[in-house]
Amino acid sequence: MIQEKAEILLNQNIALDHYKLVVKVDGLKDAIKPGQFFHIKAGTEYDPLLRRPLSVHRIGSKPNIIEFLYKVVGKGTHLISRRSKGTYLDVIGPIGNGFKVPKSQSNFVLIAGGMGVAPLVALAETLAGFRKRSITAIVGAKTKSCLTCNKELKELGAKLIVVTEDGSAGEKGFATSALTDIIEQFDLRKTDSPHVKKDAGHLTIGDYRPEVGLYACGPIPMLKAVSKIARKYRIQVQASMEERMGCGVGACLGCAVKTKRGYEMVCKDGPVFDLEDIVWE
Amino acid sequence: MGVKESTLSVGIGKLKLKSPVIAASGTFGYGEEYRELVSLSSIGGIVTKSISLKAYEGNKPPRIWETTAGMLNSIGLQNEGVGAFIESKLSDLKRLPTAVIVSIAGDQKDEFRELAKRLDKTSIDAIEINISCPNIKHKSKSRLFSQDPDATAEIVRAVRRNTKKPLITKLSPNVTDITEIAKAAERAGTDAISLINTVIGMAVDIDTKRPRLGNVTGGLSGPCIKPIALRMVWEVYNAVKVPVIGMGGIMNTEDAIEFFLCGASAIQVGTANFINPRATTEVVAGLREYLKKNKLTSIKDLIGKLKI
Ligand SMILES: Cc1cc2nc3c(=O)[nH]c(=O)nc-3n(C[C@H](O)[C@H](O)[C@H](O)COP(=O)(O)OP(=O)(O)OC[C@H]3O[C@@H](n4cnc5c(N)ncnc54)[C@H](O)[C@@H]3O)c2cc1C
Ligand SMILES: Cc1cc2nc3c(=O)[nH]c(=O)nc-3n(C[C@H](O)[C@H](O)[C@H](O)COP(=O)(O)O)c2cc1C
Ligand code: FES
Repeated sequence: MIQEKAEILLNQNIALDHYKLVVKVDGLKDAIKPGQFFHIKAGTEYDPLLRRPLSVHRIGSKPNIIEFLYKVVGKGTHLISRRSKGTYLDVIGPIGNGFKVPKSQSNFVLIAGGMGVAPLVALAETLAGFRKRSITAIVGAKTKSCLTCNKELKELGAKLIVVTEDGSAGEKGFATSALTDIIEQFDLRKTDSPHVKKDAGHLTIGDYRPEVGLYACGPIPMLKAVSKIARKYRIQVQASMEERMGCGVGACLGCAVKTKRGYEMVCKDGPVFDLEDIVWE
Repeated sequence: MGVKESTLSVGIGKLKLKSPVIAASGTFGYGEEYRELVSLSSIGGIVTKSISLKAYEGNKPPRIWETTAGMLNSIGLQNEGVGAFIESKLSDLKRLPTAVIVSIAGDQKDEFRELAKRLDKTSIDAIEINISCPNIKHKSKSRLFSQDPDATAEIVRAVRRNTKKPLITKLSPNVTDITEIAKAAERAGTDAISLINTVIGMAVDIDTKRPRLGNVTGGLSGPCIKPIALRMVWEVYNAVKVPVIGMGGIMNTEDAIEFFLCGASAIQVGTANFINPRATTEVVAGLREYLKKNKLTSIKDLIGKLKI
């Protein structure tokens, strides 16, 4: 993790309120993992005061070049959107654990709601480098104009399923409505893993089906629904969670989520959690 | 080098600090969290997150809400308890190139006494008594121990009797007369007074009609509380003889100097660490420059030099 002045190479409006931000961060020591994020200072004054967390959207092949995808929702993101090419952003990162990708897995289902698609593209990028694998990306958005990553996901070899709340593109509904159908395709009921206990109170690594990995990012109601469906099939869900942050480094204990082990921090213990461990409040 | 260093050193009772800039409790974890981002060799010390006798789970999220030039928090003193702290955190902390001040908190006097006993046997440099956290319920007739001079004195005395470590008592701004509490702490034997802890506040979501924080109320910190903090440091400086450690909204060197002029012998940097992890070390460098520019031999030449 470093604190750096990152040069803005591109900060482009790609759809209504949606921006792509490309920065050059010199001095990065470790490789960035999909699911990690940066904590970004939006302005130079005291309002807004705190940094803003943004997930890495594309890691890319060039060292030190990182892409973000963000939506303007308030003061901080608005200020970031006004920053021009050639200026510098104060960033801290990479932060957090990132998605774990088991070597044994070959079927990957990515499910995104809204801006949740941002980190999942970085994951697809990593998965695209694997030899034998299938990637299905279910992307849910409010409306057609918010679908900003379709082309990228397809280029990365993902089978794309689009769902919009207003039906302006793909099926009408929520991302989760498409999930059961996709899972059914893997014919999981027939593969009876000896590890799978019946009615386990709390699923742990050994209980999961090894065939499919589910990766999610989106609003809480979506994550809850994904968790419920995945549980039925004993599929592990790794989800990138959000919470309001102070420090971003595990010092302030502000970004707490309740897990079966007690409160854990999105910035330090996450942002990626096994959804089975989350205690919904 | 030697001459330069000595100009910033201060003594807080028996506690000698190489510079008067300290990282504030709850904003700097246990030092390790910031290890990759900042070198602590120039700062005077760090105060740990407050530690209680038994583990505290912490409050229900959301625990943070940003406000205009500030933030509300309702962390609720989440910590593993003093036993786990001594076992798993202390040795790493002691390896930091700066003084280690351990903040202690509890909801009754006996807890503070026990904490003092346990910590007295360790190699820590000082204890800060947090009787001013707005996010836990104290077993006292007022909401916070530090809102009641008698409860303040009782706790300070209980800690004093059980440790020889330098003692700093941290006060809350949520009182009618801060000097009354400060004097009570001084009489009970504290070596220094630190202030201010956060200002109790609230924020509301008008769509859901619910409070923004899981715990309903929280503590306000950051630049927006600086004027309150300065006023209280000035009042306490004029009311007690023990050194005062000032904090509340310090973001940079200029802010820090205001506190020294109002009577602080040292300052703590809290919320600023979140925005700039190098805030403490930048203030140290800034103070050094300020002394040089103004041809002052010691930071002590600034303390309480407010011209009225
Ligand atoms: C780990 C992580 C990764 C994220 N990645 C992305 C991303 O790739 N693209 C993207 O568009 N957004 C992402 N977000 C959400 C993004 O951080 C918020 O949209 C942003 O902070 C809003 O700031 P604002 O000032 O514009 O909005 P305001 O609503 O004015 O912000 C007020 C305060 O609330 C906080 N806040 C508001 N919304 C959120 C949120 N959803 N999560 C956490 N804090 C929030 C802000 O940081 C700020 O402190 C991510 C959040 C987290 C926690
Ligand atoms: C997230 C957060 C957690 C805090 N936790 C503690 C704590 O555990 N103990 C304590 O004495 N003060 C705690 N404080 C108060 C700070 O140490 C400091 O008194 C206050 O924030 C004012 O200073 P600032 O404006 O520089 O942050 C906390 C403050 C914040 C913002
Ligand atoms: S934001 Fe401070 S602990 Fe996560």
